[in-house]
Amino acid sequence: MRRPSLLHLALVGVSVATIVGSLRRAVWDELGPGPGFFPLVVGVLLLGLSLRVLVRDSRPQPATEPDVDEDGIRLEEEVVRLGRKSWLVVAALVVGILTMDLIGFRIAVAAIVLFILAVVERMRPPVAVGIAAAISAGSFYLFTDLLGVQLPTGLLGV
Amino acid sequence: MDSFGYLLDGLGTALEPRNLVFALIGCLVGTAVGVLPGIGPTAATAMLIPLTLALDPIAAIIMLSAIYYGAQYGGTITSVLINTPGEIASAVTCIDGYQMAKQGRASTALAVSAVGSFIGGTIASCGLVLLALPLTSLALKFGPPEFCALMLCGLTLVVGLGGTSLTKAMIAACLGLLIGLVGIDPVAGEPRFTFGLPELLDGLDFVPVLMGLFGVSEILLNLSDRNRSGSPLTSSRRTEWGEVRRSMPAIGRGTGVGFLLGLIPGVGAAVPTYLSYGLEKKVSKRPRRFGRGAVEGVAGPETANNAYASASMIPLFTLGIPGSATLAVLMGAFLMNGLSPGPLLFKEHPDFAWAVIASFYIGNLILIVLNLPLVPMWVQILKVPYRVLYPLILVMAIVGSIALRGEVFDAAVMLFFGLVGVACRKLSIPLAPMSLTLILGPMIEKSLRQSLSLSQGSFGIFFTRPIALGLIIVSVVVLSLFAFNVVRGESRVESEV
Repeated sequence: MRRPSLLHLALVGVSVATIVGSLRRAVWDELGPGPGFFPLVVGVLLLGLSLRVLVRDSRPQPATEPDVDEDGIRLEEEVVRLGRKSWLVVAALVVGILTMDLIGFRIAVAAIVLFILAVVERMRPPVAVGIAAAISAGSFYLFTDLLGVQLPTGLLGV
Repeated sequence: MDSFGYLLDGLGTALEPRNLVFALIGCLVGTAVGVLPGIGPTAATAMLIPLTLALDPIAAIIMLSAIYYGAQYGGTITSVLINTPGEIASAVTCIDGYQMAKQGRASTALAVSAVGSFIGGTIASCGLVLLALPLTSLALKFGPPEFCALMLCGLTLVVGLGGTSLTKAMIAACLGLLIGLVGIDPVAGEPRFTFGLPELLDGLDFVPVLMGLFGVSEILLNLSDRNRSGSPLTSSRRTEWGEVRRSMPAIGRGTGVGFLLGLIPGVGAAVPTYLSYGLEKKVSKRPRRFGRGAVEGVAGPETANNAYASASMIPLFTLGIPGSATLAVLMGAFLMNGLSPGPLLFKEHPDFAWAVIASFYIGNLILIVLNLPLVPMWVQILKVPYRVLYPLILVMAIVGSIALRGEVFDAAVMLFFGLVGVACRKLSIPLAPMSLTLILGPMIEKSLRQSLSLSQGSFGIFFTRPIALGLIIVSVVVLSLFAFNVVRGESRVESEV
């Protein structure tokens, strides 16, 4: 028997939270379903399905023949894991998005791109700075001046 | 003068050099804007109305309609090349279009989209001329019960979109429904699952969610794949015209789906694309190719998209009912130019009405003449080193998310759903059913509760209205057949464990 992964447990947790949240609202009134009806149905269904998957994926998997499609081409299982690079990019995006209202779109985006190019991709600094500045200024100009979209300028008004 | 005579007159007006130029500008601008993530046809059309204020009414509407069509095609380009839907109706193209790009078949994918869009849009425009009035009277019979039944029919596609595991497809569907429940309840007006955040009162916008699920998750996984030495994308080979020819049956079916659904106001541009995808997978002799670069998975939905865009003009022109947000904007443009769409439009301003209808043919022709030769240009994007391309994609996705409502919060939503997308891939939960129910869920709930309000809480309303009953029977039959086949298959596997 394999231990259930955190993701399986998270799925079960989301369904339980949905059921609890839905029961705080009217499930049915004189005109039919209330605000809690749909979330309750979805939550109960999701709970049943996620428990089924959790139990099934926890069982030892038998060795099976490789899966092939109608043309006999082998269908590869995708290996899914996030590595160091991905987590660094996520961190850059989190910091950039959280500070964007303060420092403005241009500085935040330039910082995100510079970090990705210089630190994650280990590009030469002058090249990274040039590309980051171009992407930041170009996207800002395109959306604000050409398309009239409002982007945050931050406390500095940049 | 009969309709054909008016149409010929209208063609003469639409083919005037001045109007041709405006149609060309509209197609170019629409395509360019459609490429930008987050700026869909609605926003593009609305933002560019000021450009048309100085023009006469015919030229203004011709240009805005061309922007509408152009934006539909522009959204396809990013779906195919970088797995980031430029607008919601292009989301389903990500599933097979991006896989085709990874296999070096991006040119073929874009060419199929261009050809399918042209054929679907042109045939639907013919339908506009020939069948507008009789079909519109049928569409008027669609009330909340029929809508609900139609959306439930769309939900049965979940079982076809989900690959081999029905359980995981249904989990994906439930998660999509859950995402759609966030916000204010459509009938009672109570906030649900907003966690006290005012930004969530309007619900979660589709575009940042889809960009996160498809685009951002793909980037994060590509960066982690040690088996890839460089870009996940392969330089594209030349367009394989044999594949384009072989996708003609899919294009034909997509035209039918898009046209019929375009007649019904309120369906939205995304639903025909998903229905078309599900249909192609159902009728295919090799359904397991879908999700791995099946050209029919691009041809059908893209055709349906453009056929829908043309057909949805029918309720607008004949009844004055805009079938979608973009058409509401177009209707605003009509009104700004002193014209009221509806039955009297053809009587009081036949020159205007038929010139605009004729311009739809011209606009479709301009789009294919422009976009087919531009395919080699678009695929040059694949030659950009991936380590420069993906930061650019992320920036475009951030801007596209913020541009919708002016909220940085939506960029955070996009990132969050990027991680959700990775988690789904880890658990082998397919994204296609989730993106379908994300769109259908709110529509189903609203139409179900409206129906039950009409019937004072009785479900009998679905059985006493023939169209609704027919659609429900179709849904039940399709779902039962599929469930029987899958459960029989899963039981055979489990008995061997």
